[in-house]
Formats: sequence, C-alpha cells, structure tokens
Amino acid sequence: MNLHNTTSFGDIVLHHVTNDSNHVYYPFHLFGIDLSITKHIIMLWIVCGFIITLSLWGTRRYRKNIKATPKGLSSLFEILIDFIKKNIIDPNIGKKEGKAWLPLITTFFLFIVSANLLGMIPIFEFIKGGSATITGNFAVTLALATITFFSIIIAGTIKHGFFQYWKNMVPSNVPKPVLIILIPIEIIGMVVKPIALTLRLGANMTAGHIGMVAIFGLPFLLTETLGPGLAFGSGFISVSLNTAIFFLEIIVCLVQAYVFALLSAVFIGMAIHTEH
Amino acid sequence: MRVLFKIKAMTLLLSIGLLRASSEGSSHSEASWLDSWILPDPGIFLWTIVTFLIVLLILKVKAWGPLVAALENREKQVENSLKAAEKAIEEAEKVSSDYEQSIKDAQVKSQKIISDSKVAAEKVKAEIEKTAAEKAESMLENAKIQITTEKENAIKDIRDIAIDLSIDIAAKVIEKNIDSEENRRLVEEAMNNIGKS
Repeated sequence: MNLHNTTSFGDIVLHHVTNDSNHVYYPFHLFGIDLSITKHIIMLWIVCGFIITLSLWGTRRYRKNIKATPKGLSSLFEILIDFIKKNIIDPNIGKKEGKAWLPLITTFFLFIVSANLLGMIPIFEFIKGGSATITGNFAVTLALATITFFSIIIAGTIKHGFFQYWKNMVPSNVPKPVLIILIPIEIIGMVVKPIALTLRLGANMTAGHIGMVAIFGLPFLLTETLGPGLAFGSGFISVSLNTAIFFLEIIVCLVQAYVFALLSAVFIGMAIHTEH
Repeated sequence: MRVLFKIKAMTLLLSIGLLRASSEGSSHSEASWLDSWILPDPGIFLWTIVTFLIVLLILKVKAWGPLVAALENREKQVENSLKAAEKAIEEAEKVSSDYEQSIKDAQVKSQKIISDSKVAAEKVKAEIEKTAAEKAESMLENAKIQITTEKENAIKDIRDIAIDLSIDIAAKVIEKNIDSEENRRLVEEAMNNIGKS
C-alpha cells in the first residue's frame, strides 16, 4: 500500500471490500444493462460451482439408491437438511407447506454460508478486481432478498389465492379512515422486509472486512505520523487483533447465513399463516 | 449477539470516519467507491438472480429432491419396522400363550389317562382275585368230596377184606366148612355189632 500517491487510504480500504466495476474481464451489454463479467461475477460462479459440486457429490448416494445410508459427506448433508427442516422450516412455515420451501431455504443457507466463508479465504485476492466476498455486495444481497420478496408473494398466493392474499394484508374489520394509514404502512412493511435482509447481510459482511483492512492499514498510517519504529510495533497489535476478529468473522458468516435463511422462512410463514 | 452487532456498528462507523479523514483531496474517487459499494449494481443484481435460480433448480432436482426422498423413505421404513416389530411381539405372545394352553391341556389329558388306567387296573385286579378265589373254593370242595368218597370206598374195601379174612380165619378155626352164605350173614351181623359198640 503506497500512501504517497494520489490514492487515498479510504480508496484502498474500499477497494478491498467492494467490487471494482472498472476491472472488467469480459465486457457484455444487454438491453442497455451492463452485464460485464467483473470479479464478483466470477466469485459468484466460483461459489455456485462450489456448492453445486459439493451438494451433488454429497447426495450422489441417494440418487443411485433411495435406501442409501449416510456416509462421509452425505451424513453432513443429512444433518444440514435435518437442521433446516426441524429448526427453520417446520416451526415457521409448517410441516405441510414447508416441504415446498425446503429447497429454497437450504439453497439460501448453503449459498450464503459458502459465499461468506469463501470470501474469508485470502487466496481469492489473487483474482484482480476488488473484494472476494460477494455477500458484502448490496447487489448480491438485494438479489437474494428479491427472491425472498417474490417467494413471500408466491407462498401467500398459492395458499390463499391472488385476491385473498392481498386482502389478508389488512385486517378485515377496521374503519375506512384507518385504512388510509394502514395500507401504506403494510406496503412499506412489505418492502422493508427484503431491504432489511439486504442491508443486514451486506453490511455485516462488509463491516467485518472494512474493520480488518482498517486495522491492517494502521501500521502504514502510523509510519507517517509516529515513524517506522512504533508503526512496526503496532503491526504486531494489528495482526493479533485481526486474528481474533477473523474467528469472530467465521461466527458472523454462519450466523448471518442462518439469520437470512431463518428470516426468509419466517416471512414466507407469515404469508401462509395470516391468522397470526 | 447484540454486543457483536454493537462492535460491528462501531467498527463500521470508525472505518467510515477513517476513510473520510484520510481521503481529503481525493473526494471524487472516494465518492465513486462509496457509490459503487452502496448503490447496487444492476448487472451483478441480474447475474445473481439468474445464477441463483439456476443453482436452485439444479440442487432442487439433483440434490435436495433425492436427499429428502431418501430421508422420508427412511422415516417411513423405520415407522413400518417398528409397527412390524410390535405386531411380531404380539404374535409371539399369542403363540406362546397358545403353547402354554396346549401344554396344560396335554397335562390334564395325561393325568386323566393315568387315573383311568389306574381304575381299569384295579378292576382287572379285583376280577382276577375273585376268579382265583372262586376257583380255589371249588377245587377245595372237589377235593373234600373226593376225599370223602375215597374214604368211604376204602372203609368199604377194608370191611370186605376183613369179612373175607374173618371167614377164612373162622373156617380154619372150626375146620368146618359151613354154608358160606350163612357164615357171611353171621359175620356181618357180628361186624355190625362191632361197629355199633
């Protein structure tokens, strides 16, 4: 990191936590939308390739034989499915309706946890063009939250029918003037749910990385003000501090994936069980 | 968890402050970086949706479907096996109770057979004893009759012999052969007197 040229420290920090849209691997435009292949697209594909390979490898026994018993990686997948089914789907969506949503929630969890954890591996820094953590990109989390948003609507529509679903949004026996306030609030509530999902996941993943990069940058900043000797000493502090934060980040990666999957299930469950 | 989020929020705020403080004079590039971070890029947004939906479809068909089917199948199998085991236990209990009942029946039957045979044996024994006693009685009776008859015959023979001897002796003694018929009458008379006296 060279701080003596025109690039500011803020630029450097942000470079490590965001996608560099100027570093294009393959320019691609469709209907006026910039769909160029940048680092985050490549990371997206790496994550997807990773989870597809892992899942297909882990469940190959069950495709061959429905009576297969778990062994090796497949027992891990059984635990994952069992955990998501019993702790996320069944209590929030219900046993009957939950069956249809199990693949979505499982894929959410696996995708997010893989993206989070792969973003923690520094080796992906060798791919030029910004951060490696795609879940720190609001476009990615917004895309996931959009899928949740439409899933909520689809779940409610399948259960109650198109018109009944929208009618369920507002309580039936309220005076008309209250509706003037209530309807906008319900609409806002509908939109806020995915936005909250977007910001929670994106900000959590980015914040950790910003913190780590900032702490790593401390010795370089202090070289200018305190001189190289003290800055070298602060290097020890920043490395040990970042080691601790790294472990914290691993927990955050798992927790955020769980929270996203859980809240998606809760929202879908709310659309299905409107009486609550 | 709340503490964790507080720490994260503080780190984020600190970092942004640090960014602002350290990027004086290059506000243009900083703004572009911040924009690229905060404003979602439509290209990445679309790519993510498309890719995620494809991944979801692949995993749903190829991974989660078979896995869930296998788990459900196993659950059903376990349930069925438990039911079958319960049924088998019930059947075994029934069979064992039947068996016990049949043993009891057999015991009762054998007991009856033994007692019946005992009764029959007693009867046979009594009959044999009765027949034997009767036979012995009749034999004894016959023997008595025979003995009496023999005795009478013997006495008669002895008397005859005695008479003949007496006559012979008398004849020799008197040396006179009288009418034997008369003699005989006399001797018999004498004999009868002897018998009476």
